[in-house]
Amino acid sequence: MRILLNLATNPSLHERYALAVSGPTAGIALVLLLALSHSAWVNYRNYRSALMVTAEDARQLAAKQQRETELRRYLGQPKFSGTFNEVHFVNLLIAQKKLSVPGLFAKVTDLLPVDVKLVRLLYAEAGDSAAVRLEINGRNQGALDEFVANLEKSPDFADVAVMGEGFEKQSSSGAAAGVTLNCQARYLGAAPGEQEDQ
Amino acid sequence: MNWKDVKKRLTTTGTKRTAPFTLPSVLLEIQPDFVAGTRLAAVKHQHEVRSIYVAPLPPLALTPHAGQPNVANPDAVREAAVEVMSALGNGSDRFGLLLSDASARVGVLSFETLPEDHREAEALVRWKLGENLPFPAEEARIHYQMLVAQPGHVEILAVAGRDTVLGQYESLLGPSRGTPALVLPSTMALLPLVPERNDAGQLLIHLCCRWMTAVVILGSRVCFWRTREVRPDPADTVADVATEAARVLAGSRDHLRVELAGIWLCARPTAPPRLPEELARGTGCEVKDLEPPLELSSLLPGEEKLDFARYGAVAAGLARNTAVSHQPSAISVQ
Repeated sequence: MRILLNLATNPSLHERYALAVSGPTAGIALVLLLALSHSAWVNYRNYRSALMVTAEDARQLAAKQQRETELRRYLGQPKFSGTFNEVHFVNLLIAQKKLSVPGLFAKVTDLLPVDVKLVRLLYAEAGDSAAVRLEINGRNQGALDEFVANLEKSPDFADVAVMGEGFEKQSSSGAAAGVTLNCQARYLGAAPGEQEDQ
Repeated sequence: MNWKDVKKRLTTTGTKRTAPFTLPSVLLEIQPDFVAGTRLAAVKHQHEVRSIYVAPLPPLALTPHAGQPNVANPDAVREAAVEVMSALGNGSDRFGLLLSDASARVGVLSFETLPEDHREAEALVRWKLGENLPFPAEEARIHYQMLVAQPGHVEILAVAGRDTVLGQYESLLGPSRGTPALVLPSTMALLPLVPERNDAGQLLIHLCCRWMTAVVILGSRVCFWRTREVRPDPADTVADVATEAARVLAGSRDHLRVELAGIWLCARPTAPPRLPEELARGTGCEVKDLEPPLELSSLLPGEEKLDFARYGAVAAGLARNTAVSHQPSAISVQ
């Protein structure tokens, strides 16, 4: 009689190939471990350098704050208060774009004909606009008209208005008497180049 | 693809599947009194015994039982098993385990029909075998082979062992040796030595270390199997064996309708005095010794031939098992 019985267990795939698979698995695990270790080391090194940069920045910031505090304390002394006020005033004028008087004078002078001279120049601000009041004296009426025409053509002035006109009396020396003209115009402001020139 | 089956194969949990029969090159027989090892070699498509070694066990180091732990002295049993394996020069070859008949249960089961579905058949066999198991049937490793498969009548020879009990033997040699390729009760290995006889039944009596197994064989099929313990004193042993043989003889005649024409006796290592005579007198049958074929031991030196004659019957039976032409079907059971 042939016996075909057996109580031995049929080894599962897990048991049959566990030993064969364990080697490659261990190798792959080792490679992964090395890669992860290298990555962790690189990250740690970057973290340390970032920490050092941050600490350096913090140190520089603290030094600058210290320097600022010292400068403020130095500049806060009474002997520097006058200069500070002046500088503050100048900065305020610059911030408010105030008129350059030499520039205005030069522009008006450019408009004067040969026979006309500038007697008085007044500057007044009214809100956002600025106005100039001019008193000029010329030999004859034609010269004054030429000046008014030049003023109206100038891009720096607008809304020209003649306020009054008068004749000067002849002097005792016999010199010829001139014609005086009072006029007003709106000054359109200084060009950017002029402000920089200030 | 059945992913559950794949998952089950890849994991170690759950019930274990018994393997198909295979004959490893090394056989290790562990009995209550000794550990015997045999190395087989294939010569011209047949197996021969290349070497045999026997180591004794101290008393009570091993107490066979189907439902309880068997190994009472693991160190002593392991030491003997390692000694035997070393003597055989077994390196990494897979090995087979032959156990005392009392460590497993064998039964002949009859059914009107057996489901073709493997799992359903397994459940039915497990349920029916469970009635005679001294432990929960779910804990059993089961393997059965078909004896008769006729319409309306199916007969199987089933063997069952408790997983924890078998595991105790399997783990004796340590994890480095792996699991055995073959596990069987020792009497099962004797069946191929019994010559087939179709005109009448035969009784095989295997006496080994205070345990005897009686097997009734008709033609090429087992009709009856019983294992019982006998008293250790030789005179008592003879009486117990003779009584049991007479009881089986009567039972076969009355219940199996099988007339026994002869008795094959295999008593290892040696038969008690007057056992064959008492058997013949008690049963009225001719008693023959079931001895291992001498041609299988042609490669052995003189001393080992003596050990082979005393202990080598089971190894000879398995060596002869592969040469038998008749091939009934066997079912592995999870």
